[in-house]
Amino acid sequence: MSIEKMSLVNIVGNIDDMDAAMKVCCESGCFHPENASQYIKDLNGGTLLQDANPFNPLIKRIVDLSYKMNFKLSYQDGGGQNLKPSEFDQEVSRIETKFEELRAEREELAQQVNNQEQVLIQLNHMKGLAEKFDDIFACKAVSSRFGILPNDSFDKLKYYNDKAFFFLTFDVDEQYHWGVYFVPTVLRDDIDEIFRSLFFQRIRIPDYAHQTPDIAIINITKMLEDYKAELKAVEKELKAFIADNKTTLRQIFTALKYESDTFELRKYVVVKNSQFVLVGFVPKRLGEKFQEGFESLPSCDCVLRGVDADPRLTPPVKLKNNWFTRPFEMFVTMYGLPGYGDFDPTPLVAYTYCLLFGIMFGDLGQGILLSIIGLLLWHFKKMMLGRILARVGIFSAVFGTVYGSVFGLEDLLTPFYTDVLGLPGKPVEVFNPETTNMLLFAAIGIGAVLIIVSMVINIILGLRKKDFERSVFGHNGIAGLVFYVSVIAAAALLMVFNVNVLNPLFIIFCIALPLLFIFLREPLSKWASKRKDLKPEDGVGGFIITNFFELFENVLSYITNTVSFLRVGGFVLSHAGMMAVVMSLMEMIGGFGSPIVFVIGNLFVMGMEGLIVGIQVLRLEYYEIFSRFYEGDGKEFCPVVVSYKIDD
Amino acid sequence: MAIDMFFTSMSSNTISAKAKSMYGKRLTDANYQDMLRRSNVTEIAAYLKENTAYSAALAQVDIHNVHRGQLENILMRELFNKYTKLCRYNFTGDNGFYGYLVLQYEIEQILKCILSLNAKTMADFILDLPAFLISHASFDLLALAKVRSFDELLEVLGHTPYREILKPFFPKGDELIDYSSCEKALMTYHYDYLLGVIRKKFHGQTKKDLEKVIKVNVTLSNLMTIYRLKRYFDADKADISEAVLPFEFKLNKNTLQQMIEAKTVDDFFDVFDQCYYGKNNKAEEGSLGFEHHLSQIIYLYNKKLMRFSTSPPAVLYAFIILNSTEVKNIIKIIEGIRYQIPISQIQNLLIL
Repeated sequence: MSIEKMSLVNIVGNIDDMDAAMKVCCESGCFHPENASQYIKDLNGGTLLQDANPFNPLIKRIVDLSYKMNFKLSYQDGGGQNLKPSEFDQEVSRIETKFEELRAEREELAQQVNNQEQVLIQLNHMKGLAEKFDDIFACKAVSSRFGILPNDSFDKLKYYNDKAFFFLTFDVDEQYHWGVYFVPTVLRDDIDEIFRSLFFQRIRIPDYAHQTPDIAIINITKMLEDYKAELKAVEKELKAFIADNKTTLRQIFTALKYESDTFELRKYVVVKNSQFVLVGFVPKRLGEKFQEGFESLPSCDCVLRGVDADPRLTPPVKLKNNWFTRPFEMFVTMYGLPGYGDFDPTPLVAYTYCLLFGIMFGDLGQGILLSIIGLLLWHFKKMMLGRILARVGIFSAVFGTVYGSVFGLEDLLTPFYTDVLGLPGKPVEVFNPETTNMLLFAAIGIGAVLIIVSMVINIILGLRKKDFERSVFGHNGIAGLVFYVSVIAAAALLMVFNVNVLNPLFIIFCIALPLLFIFLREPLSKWASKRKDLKPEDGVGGFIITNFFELFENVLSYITNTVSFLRVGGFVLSHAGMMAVVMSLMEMIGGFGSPIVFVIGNLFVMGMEGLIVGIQVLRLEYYEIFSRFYEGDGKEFCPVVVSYKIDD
Repeated sequence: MAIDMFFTSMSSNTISAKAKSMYGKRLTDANYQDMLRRSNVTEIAAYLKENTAYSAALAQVDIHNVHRGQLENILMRELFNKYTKLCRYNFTGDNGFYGYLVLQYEIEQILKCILSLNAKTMADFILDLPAFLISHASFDLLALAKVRSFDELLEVLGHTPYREILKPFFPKGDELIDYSSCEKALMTYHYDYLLGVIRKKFHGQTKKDLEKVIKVNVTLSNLMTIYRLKRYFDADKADISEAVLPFEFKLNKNTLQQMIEAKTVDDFFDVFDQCYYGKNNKAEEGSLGFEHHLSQIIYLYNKKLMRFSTSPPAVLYAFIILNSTEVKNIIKIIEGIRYQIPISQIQNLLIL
């Protein structure tokens, strides 16, 4: 439960072994490269490699092809084993060509089918027409054009009222007027041009439609069936072709992506005099294993050094937590990673988050259901939030047992406590007015403890870094802690035991003095660090005004941050209240409807309140706890790996 | 009275809810990526028909034979249909605002007509005429397509306010019609009319939101005009001042004047970068970057309004702008693929 210890790695080798060395780095999965440009000076020169990635064009072709073939590219074992890398291009071209051929054939047939269908539709619109097509087409002075005209264009026909043609509509649908226009043959070209510009789609009545429309329909239907059969065969062939070749494409893609991603590591390399230098970090525990990878490369020298061997480099941060707390790394990362050597707050977040969530959302039935939903989300969708839900659900169930609440049924567990355990009733009766006060005070108590813990962590971290302003004189340092604990203790003693400790000595040493320290934290910390620039930079007047208001804000924040935890108690009441509404609705509806109200009501409360509580607890973590000690300025550990995901 | 107000409020909120629901069906980045990988108009039409909210509009379309122009017409008609559909939920009666898109389209057609008259290409005017507007326009659009002179144009516009607006620009002899002045006069009328209606008929946040969105749009359109006149026409400051519309938002007159008076495009950028709209300006000089940047600001502003405004007319206005940007994006993809422009270049032209 900490931050992974790192080692600095320097890899130096002959340029001939550079690609092999980079492959070792990629395959290790634990090498975080650092930009080596700053080493150019150390090496008295040297160049950064800036060659264009030669694998990208072919990868792009494969990606485009996969989109056209409608399958997803992914890692495929045996990356192009049957093919030599030099044959990849040829093989992809072969697949591309054949695929395009089949696709063109399919398009042509689909076009034929579509044309025939259009003809059939056209003919169906003309059913009952007694005239034979031969007679219509035999007219020499008048030409006819069958087809469809977009409705928008039909509206514009009035514009051409002075032109010598007429359009006869057979039928109208949402987009088109189906019909024919007749035009004197001598004017045919001009009128055709007008109709073309109006997006008239001509449907050519085939030569074989000699008879009346009814007879033509029969002939063309048969022809359509033939085309459809051909189309089906080509589609089948295309499908088989895709099925046969997608493995090959995935294998080539896997091999190329490996080479490409390894090649990308070149941007971290500095080359001088046929030697290359690569610098990065590896987790300390994997250092030796990482070194072993270079044993087969005699020209390469892989040296492990202390993490702070080069002060110019900031070590990356990799969080190391146990199975329970690991999912909560998500919340820590969202805020910002801790610096290397800082405190990893993940365990603190994990336990406090679960505890607060459980208290605020206490229900045995809903908690178990939440856990199950969380497990399912993790199992099927790989959502990290699912793992968090699984954990908080258990705490919710535990507190639900304490409150005696099962899916909002507040008395279901009462017999268990009275009859089995022999208690007078449930441990916590939420609706009891006396319990309400107790819950609210307990919430503030929890808040105070968490704030004190945060301050203690801050003090320890500050002392470790010898930052006296932070650890001793700051409002989250020892001075702040003494003030806060004193005020809380005085208030608690007065309210619970009616003991007033606010005597002059207490006020001077436990309240006034810490406040004075906080007010003078800047010069005092400089004095403690034996610095001589004790005089404030903005002058004494500016110092007093700034620090007065800051002190005022600090004192106010102690109060607001503590009171902020009232929401923990508030949500216990709100949850019980919302479920009481569901129960009232059930009673009002009664009969067959009440189970439905029960289920929907529970789901609604779970969804809405679960979300709100989740957000509120996160808010408490970030604002009331993190803000006291956490800086979140760490650099993420990003090892180089080969990614087989497609980026758009 | 109270019941009236209840229905008024309910109907207006329906516009807002409906517009937001329609906006929810907008094209996603993934949709655009998929479209960019298609190789012709037919494939794009098929994609829109099978995978997007345009499926209903394209249901009856013969995608195998669809023409690029026809597809664009369908998309434009669909946008107009959405607008009329939303306006149907306004049971408050015509307060002068809800017809704003028709007004805008009418002005666009009149300006196109003037351009065609100057270019002597009126014979083709009918082809680009949006047929869906014929039954909504306040004058006879088919008659507009037949005009061959400014005189005839005024006659067609007979009873509309446009006639009086355009009358002073009657060309002398064989002179060309002064397009810039006509454009400025019509656009000024358009925005004056809209802002006037907003001032009279709306109040509170609705009034504030509407005034702001319209003024942002017109201010950015002014900036676009200044930039284009400087970059492509090397226009002097008098010509530029003449072309700029008399509205601005978050841009004081002094800054605007400095932009107009800037000697070079670089000087213009220096002033622009300091103004409210110049923050984060990463537009590259010598490219369409700047125009893209301004379009992006308009898009993002309307997107924000769409999400956060509770004023139904403002939501409607923002929705139409966002939807028309989407249609323009589709048209850019269609044209880009037709002219075999690399995917990355088409992508850079999209407003997302």
